[in-house]
Amino acid sequence: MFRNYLAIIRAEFYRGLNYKIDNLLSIVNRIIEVSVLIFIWKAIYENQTTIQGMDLTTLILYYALAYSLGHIVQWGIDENMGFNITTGRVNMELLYPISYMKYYFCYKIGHVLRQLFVIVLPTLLVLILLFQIPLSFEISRIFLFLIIMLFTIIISFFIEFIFGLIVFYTTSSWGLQILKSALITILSGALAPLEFFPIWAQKIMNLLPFQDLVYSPIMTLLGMNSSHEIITILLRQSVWMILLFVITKLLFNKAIKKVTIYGG
Amino acid sequence: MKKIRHQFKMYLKMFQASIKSLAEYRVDFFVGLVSQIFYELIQIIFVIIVFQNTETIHGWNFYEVLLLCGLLNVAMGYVDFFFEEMYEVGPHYMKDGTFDILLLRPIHPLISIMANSRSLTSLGNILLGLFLCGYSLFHLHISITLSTILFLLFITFIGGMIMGAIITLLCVSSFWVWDSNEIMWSSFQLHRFAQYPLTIYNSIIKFILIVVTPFAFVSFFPASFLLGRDYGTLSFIAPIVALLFWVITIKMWNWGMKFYKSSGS
Repeated sequence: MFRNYLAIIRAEFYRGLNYKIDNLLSIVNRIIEVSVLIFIWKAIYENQTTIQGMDLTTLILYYALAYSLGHIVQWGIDENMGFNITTGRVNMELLYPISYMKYYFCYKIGHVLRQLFVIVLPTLLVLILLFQIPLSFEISRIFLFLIIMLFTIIISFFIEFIFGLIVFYTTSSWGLQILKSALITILSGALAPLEFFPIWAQKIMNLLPFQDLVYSPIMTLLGMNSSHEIITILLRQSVWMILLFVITKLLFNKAIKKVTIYGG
Repeated sequence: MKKIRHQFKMYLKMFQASIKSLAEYRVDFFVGLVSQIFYELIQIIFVIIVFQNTETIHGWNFYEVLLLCGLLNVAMGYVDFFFEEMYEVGPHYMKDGTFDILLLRPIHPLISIMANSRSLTSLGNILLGLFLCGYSLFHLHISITLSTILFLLFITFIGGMIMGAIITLLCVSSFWVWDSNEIMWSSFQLHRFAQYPLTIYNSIIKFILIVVTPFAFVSFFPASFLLGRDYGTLSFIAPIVALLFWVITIKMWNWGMKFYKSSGS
């Protein structure tokens, strides 16, 4: 069993390595995107030293982490899942000896590992060099960060799986991709740390799981939240993991019943 | 002159034909429209958040930055409307060999490609952009006279042409690379810098935005003109920049076509 899982992880890891130009351009795109934001904040910090308790250096590091790490949660497996559904490859996938959900979970792990090495780390490196960002993290924080990220990856898997399931009902997936990535950009804290939003928006975002995708892990790593808040994060993530698992299972069973096939 | 009129007529006829084929893709179109709106929304939300935390950016207030966004949006609308098909040249026209068909026609292949652009969502962009411009001008207490409106329509069209020239120039890479759409899209991301005042960037970026990919002439200089900020000659040369850039682009295209070898039968 375990060997099967490993095989799927490795297959997905290596598959994506072939897209050399795509990967390079992903890095370029993210760097341009985040550079615009950093320049804006730099200009604003000319007149003040802190905004909502964050100084410029911390904010730049926040964005560097948000736009490198955030790639994992913004561009997930829903695109691949959707593509396989519209091309009819899903028929083959549903017949695998391993369950469809488990298959895509392993797929996700391979996907994340590859993104980590091919996009996240290079992007982060270039940004650190470009903006001369000083790095220093507490060991305990790194440890907590890793735990939170583990939960984050699981949560983002469920979210992506749900979006992938929607393609069972619609004909195309690319529009949904953009919609989802837009939603996540705002609600996860990639656009700006949650404190920068108006209070009423923060209240809404606190109820949703998306803040734990980018904002929570990064703030933990930067040492910007208290141990009380970290416990809250972990509890909230646990609740959402269970909730999303149930929702995903229910939607999946419904979708299987209504399978429309495309492709040759 | 007669040749140009002929090309224009052909463009209109082909455009009509491609619009008809669009009716098939209604759900796709709707989803695309909603997604594009969301995408634009992110930009506006970010501007709002920024100004929750400051009064001005280098002397530009919320409404003035909104004007920059508006001008850029309208120009983007024009770009999508006329030039969206450029993204298909590498991965489809070149790869499938259908580019040959364009070469057989008595008009320049660029005209055919432009006529095949059928982005109706671009009209949404134009309207959104014009709304943003009007909204910001109103709040800035700048009177919206007939000449203001004409200026807006003219300068955003010129802006669209500048951006279109940039895309078309990047598209020349299709003669060598099939994945040109990716390269084009990535390079075009530089337009994001044009959403905010030029002065916040370092010299390298300013140089790129004025000389290399002149996005500054799409939003920053026209907006500065409307707001009474003087930048000397730079404020007026947008149309000249557009013309110059197009001359370069067409020359590069014609040069690129010499290297073209068909992949199809």
